Amino acid sequence: MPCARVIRDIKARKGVGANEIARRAYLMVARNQTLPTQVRLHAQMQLNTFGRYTRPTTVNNRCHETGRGRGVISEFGLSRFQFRIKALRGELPGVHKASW
Amino acid sequence: MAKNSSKETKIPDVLAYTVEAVPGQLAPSVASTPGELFGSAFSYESLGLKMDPRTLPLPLPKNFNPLDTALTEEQYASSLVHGRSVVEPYRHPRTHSIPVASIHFRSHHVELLNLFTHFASHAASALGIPIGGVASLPTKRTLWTVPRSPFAHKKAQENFERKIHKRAIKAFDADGEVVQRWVAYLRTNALAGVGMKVTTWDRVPLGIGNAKILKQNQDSATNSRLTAPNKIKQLGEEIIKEEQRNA
Repeated sequence: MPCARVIRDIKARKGVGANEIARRAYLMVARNQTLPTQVRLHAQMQLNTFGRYTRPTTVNNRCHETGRGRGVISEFGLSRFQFRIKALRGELPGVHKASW
Repeated sequence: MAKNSSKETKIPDVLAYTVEAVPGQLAPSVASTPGELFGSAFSYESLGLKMDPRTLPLPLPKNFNPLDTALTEEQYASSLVHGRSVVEPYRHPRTHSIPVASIHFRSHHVELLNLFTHFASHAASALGIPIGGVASLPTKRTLWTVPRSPFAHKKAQENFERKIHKRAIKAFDADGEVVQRWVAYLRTNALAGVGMKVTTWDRVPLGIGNAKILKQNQDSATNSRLTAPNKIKQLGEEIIKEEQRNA
């Protein structure tokens, strides 16, 4: 059973995907300085009505194994400790211990 | 001494792969008569063979040229000797030095790369494709340093690395279809753990660039409503209209 933070991240990814075009359209109107202030203000207020999990900043890459949100090595999608365990087991192709 | 060494490094002649058959003597002579080997009623015609296997490989003329059309396919194929893979492949001379393909191989293991590039070179040699040598491209080395423990203790760390070794073979002058055959052969006999990236260059009629641009423009005109930036723009304009109507 994945932890709550992983579920939250899945929810955020789905929400962002579903609302991306509408959000970007409102953002385009709100940031357009050639438009009247009233129109821009309304667009900005509309932006605020979107939920928390429609914002792309709420998406965070997490470890596939443990769900840890920090120290994730993006190439493998694993947190640093899971990366070490798997590398030592030889489960990551080509990765081995180095010394110099 | 110097003379000898230069002789050894010379690119081997194609005749190096052919064995001249001595009449009446088989190369691996285990059975002396066909009756011993196949039974008394043996005839190669009954097996559907066009040539007597005991006479193979056929002797080739001294001034043998692989591009000579006077030599039939069967004669050429029968002249090939098994076991030639232990020597370096014959490199066909380039005729015009026009590059037609470049294959990049990459792997974590040097031995696999050496084996497969050797195989690819021999395949090119057998197909009559002039190739350059196997070139070594720079090895990509990725390093990671991670703490040994799951929590804290930053002073105890461990290093990991991954090396990606790369090789390249360039092919010249060969016909596009022959090159496609070569690539297909390499793909069907691909070695696990060795990646392959093929770049080919084809000859195209003049004005192909303009034709491509025209087609792209037509496609983008028909698909303009489907792309995400266009969707955003469209929706944005609708929002502006609505807001201005309300204001």
